[in-house]
Amino acid sequence: MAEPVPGSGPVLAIETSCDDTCAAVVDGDRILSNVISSQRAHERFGGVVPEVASRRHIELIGPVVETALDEAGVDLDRISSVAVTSGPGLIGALLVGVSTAKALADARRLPFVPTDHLEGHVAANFLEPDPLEPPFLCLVASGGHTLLAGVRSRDGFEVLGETLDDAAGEAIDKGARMLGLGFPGGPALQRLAEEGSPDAFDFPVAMSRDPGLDFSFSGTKTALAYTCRDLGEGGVERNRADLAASYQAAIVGQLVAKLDRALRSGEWPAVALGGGVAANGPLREAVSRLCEERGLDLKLVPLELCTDNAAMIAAASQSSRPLAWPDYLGFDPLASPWRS
Amino acid sequence: MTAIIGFDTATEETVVAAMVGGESTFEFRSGPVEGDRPAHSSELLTAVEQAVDSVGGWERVGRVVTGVGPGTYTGLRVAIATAIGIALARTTEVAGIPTLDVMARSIHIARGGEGDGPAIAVPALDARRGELFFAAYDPGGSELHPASVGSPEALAEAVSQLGGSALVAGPGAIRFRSELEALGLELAGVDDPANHLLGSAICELGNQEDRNGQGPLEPIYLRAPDAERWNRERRDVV
Ligand SMILES: [Zn+2]
Repeated sequence: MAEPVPGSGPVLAIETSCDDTCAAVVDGDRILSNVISSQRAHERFGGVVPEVASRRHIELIGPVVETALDEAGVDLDRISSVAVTSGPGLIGALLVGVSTAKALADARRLPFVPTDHLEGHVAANFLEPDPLEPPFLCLVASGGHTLLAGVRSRDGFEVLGETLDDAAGEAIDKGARMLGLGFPGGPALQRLAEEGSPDAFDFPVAMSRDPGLDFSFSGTKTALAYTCRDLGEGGVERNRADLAASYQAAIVGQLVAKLDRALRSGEWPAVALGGGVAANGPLREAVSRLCEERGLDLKLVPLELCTDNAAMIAAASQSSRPLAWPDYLGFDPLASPWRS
Repeated sequence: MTAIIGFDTATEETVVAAMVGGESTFEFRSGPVEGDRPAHSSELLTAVEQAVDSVGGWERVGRVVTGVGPGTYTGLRVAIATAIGIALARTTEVAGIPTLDVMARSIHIARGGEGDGPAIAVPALDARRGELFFAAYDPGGSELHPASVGSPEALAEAVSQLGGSALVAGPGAIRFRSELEALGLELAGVDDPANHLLGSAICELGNQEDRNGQGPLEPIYLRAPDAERWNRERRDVV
């Protein structure tokens, strides 16, 4: 087997950091395949159960990688490197992807590229059909992370702000649960909120007066819990739509307030959204308005590139340091820092 | 002659071996220092490459066999995912084999092989929460009691049903030493090699063309994940 030169052909990428089993083949900025197998198994638990996620990953990883190669029409002989999410994420889940990717790369003598999951979310913007070139400001919000990233080049980003407690998506899920909605809570909360008024209840937009760019959602969550307690079961039932609308507005309000503050430096000509929360309608509308007012470009990647996927890992891997065979045989995601 | 590579990470140890024509060419075993977490992810693939080297390269490897548990969940998935990666990369045959089958074979080999070993081998692994994974086999490797999870008392009960002299060995026999001894069971000594998985036993069993146990790369858990148990119990109450 000829030794492929790194960067001279498509990348095979694997992502298993949470509850989606993903594999993709990406050539430069072009997505040849992007397979996402979402684990519906967690819905009945009201949240992602790490052991359930790991079990599903081991069942799905083989077929998902095969499908990604098939759909791309690319034989392994043409693959130039194997990239994988090495963190942050659920450790048992990460180990399934990392072990598979390492063995696959080893048995083919391919370079191996451990890749940061958050760099993946940012790098989703580099992919075709409309690659966004830095500099831009990127808000990544999902069930696992909330991050404001200043992207000046494709090689990485500066963390301008991050959450001090819950992730935005986590706060949405927990609020949805308090209102008796299923998991994941985002879409259900948004639907319910459409029938209510965002001004009905005064949930403080936490951190909006805090001068920094960090986020915090626990106060908003507690405010909802107290309000529900005070209203009692019947009161919550009667006011569910208003509660949903007001709660969602408080969370979205904080995200937008911090984005707005970060944009005041005037350094960023464009804004990008990533992560599952980027699918939220009111967030998209508010950020669109903000960008319009400021005359900035707004990049909204398709939903399958917002939520966890392997194409974004392939994209990020192209500016990460590949490990040549056999330097990665002992690679352990538990031992290595997420970001170098 | 095609070579066989075998490995297992269902116990705290990383076990890897290679065999060509029934002759062992490589054997690796490494366990964590007391109190440390297992190093499966950092050790396994390096040892697999050494095993492949010992037989003259991947082109010579005709079959890869991995233990599929039961065992510690995170650990056993490292070996299975590694086998899946190899299966994706090469046309080599890749199969799974129950870890307790391998443990039983290891007990017989450690105890002098055919004839000299115990009449019944009872491999026992630590299943946490005060329980063991165990099974029972005759000297020919046929299963007398299926893979189970249960308390030391449940193991003793299963052994008493079988009759004949039985030897309990493995990491579970060390972990539950006092409990099992108090139940009157015969145990391998703490330093007895019978307590450890032999890589050569994986290769040996993996080499048998007609084995029933040799199958897909699917983990044997023997337990539902915690949340599932909790959900079921809650549903039972409602
Ligand atoms: Zn993510």
